[in-house]
Amino acid sequence: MKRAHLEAILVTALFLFTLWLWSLPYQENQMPYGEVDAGSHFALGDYMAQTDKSIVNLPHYIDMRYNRDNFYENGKLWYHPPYHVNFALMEITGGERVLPIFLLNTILCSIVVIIIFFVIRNMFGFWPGFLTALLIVFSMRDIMIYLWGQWPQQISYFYTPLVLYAFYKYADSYLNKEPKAVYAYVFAILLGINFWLHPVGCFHTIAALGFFSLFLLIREKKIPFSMKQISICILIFIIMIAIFPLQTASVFVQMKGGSAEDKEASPLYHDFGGLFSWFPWKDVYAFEYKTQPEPYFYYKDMNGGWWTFPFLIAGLAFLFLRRKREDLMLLGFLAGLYFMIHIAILGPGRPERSLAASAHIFYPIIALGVVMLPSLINNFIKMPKKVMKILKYSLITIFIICVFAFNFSPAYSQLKDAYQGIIRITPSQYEASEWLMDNIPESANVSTVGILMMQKERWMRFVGMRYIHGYKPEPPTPDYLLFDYSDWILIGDNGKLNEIAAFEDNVTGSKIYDKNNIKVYKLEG
Amino acid sequence: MKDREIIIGIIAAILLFSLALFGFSGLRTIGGVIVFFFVPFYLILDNFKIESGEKIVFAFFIGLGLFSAVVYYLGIFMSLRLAAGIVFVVLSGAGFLIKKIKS
Repeated sequence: MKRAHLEAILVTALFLFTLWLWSLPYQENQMPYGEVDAGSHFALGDYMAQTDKSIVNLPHYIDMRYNRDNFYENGKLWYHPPYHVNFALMEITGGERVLPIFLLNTILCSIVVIIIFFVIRNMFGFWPGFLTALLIVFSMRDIMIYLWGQWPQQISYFYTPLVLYAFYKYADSYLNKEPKAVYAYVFAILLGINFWLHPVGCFHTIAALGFFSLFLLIREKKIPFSMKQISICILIFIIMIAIFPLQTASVFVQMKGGSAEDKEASPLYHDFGGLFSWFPWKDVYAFEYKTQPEPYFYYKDMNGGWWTFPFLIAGLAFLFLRRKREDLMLLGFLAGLYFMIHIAILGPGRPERSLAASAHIFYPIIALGVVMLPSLINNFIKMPKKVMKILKYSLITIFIICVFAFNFSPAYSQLKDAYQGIIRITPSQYEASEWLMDNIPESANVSTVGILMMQKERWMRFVGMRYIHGYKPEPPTPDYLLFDYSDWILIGDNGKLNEIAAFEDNVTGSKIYDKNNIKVYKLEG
Repeated sequence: MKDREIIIGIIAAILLFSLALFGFSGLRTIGGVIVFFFVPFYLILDNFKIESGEKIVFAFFIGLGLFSAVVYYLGIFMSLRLAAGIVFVVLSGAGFLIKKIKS
């Protein structure tokens, strides 16, 4: 058996292990879960699968919340469609509503293992590739984003190393005077898809490409590509983003950003001291904006402690000292991400979101730090080749042990315990939602009383494909009222149960559903 | 052992794994991922001089965007199921056609 085949088998085994680990949240309980972002992504794909048609105008139950999310033309689909069409295709192929969509997400969110192995293996050899892939299986920030449901953004970030790789292959062949145009065209197509999946990911890639090209220009003292071929690439990219004009126009309208006053009021604006930290606004985001929990912003919490940090420094030192073309690609990637995080100092950007791409460049550098440490030391203290080899394999062994000792356990707990119990929509609520889908008009407004939390209410809305929302006295006047006692019975909160019952006693309408402690009334008038 | 045999072996392992963990729905989903996103663009890229591993990876990540982009537009005018079938046949056919022309 060839070495390449053994490597392929090993990385397949790693990918299957990742699939097992990352699918833990729904292996036993196959009810949908995630924050509101997850629900909206599910809804778009699910609507297309259920109606067997592509979505152009938003249906009532999605439009009531996302009408203005297409900044160019309200009420139209605001995302570029491919990601959600993929959901629909898998729902159709899989033959049910929830598992195929969640399984596709698991595949796509964990496929970074394959991408990163492929890119780093082809540029730096097997061990850096494998160690990077192994470490990324347990990347806590990637796991958090995956669980919350910001799926298209994260997958779009995964395209950055892949697009950079295709560009590297083209630039390398061009600089070697044997240009391979096929890589340039693959690069352009992947960049276009990168934009479709999520524009922010594409901006990350473009920033990294800019820095990489600049570094190559300085190193080689010549432009690293043919102007003719790169012009064709730009043309391909423009055609691709123009294929979905409403969604692309929405991105550009959104890019104009808020008012000058809003920008200047931001604590990030002109915070030039922030340039000296990887992410300087931890307290602002964790405690003031509360966009993510506090650990999300800390290296030690996201990377199994500090043990990888010395290897990160060693890897950086190696890249700076060697500066081969492939080293410049990683440095360009790093500089691009730094730029995207810190551009908020000038006004635009969402640095807390950009932070989610950190592992994709930190981990390859860490793995290089492990594998290349002996040769780095050898620059200063000469060692016999045999000693270097022993040192290298010892470090690799220690690294693998450390990954399982420090990184496995937090990742496993996070995934195993995610959205367990009644914070996830229950089978009773799922059944009631599907009943509503089958029995009330598409334009109906359903107000709810007793739903435990907003995320559950959203999931009932998206599963039920009707505008299900928490009761408020102000308009729109509901057509139906849904009383849900089920969560509070499980919690055992009699006070809350009495409160819901008192509300129900005052309803004037006909009861049309009564099952598993969930009741629905059609209101009079 | 040839590259193609390894690819088939790996695909079989992934399908068996998904059947064991997620049942028939999981098997059909992963089968769908392979058929829709990977196969058509692999058949097309197989006609170009790029490395074997690159063909596999590029095909999948191009398929993830381009396949569904075409299905989306057809799906405005016809059934999404039918659109997916047509796009699969046309793209896979294009792969075979390029091969025939090149040979």
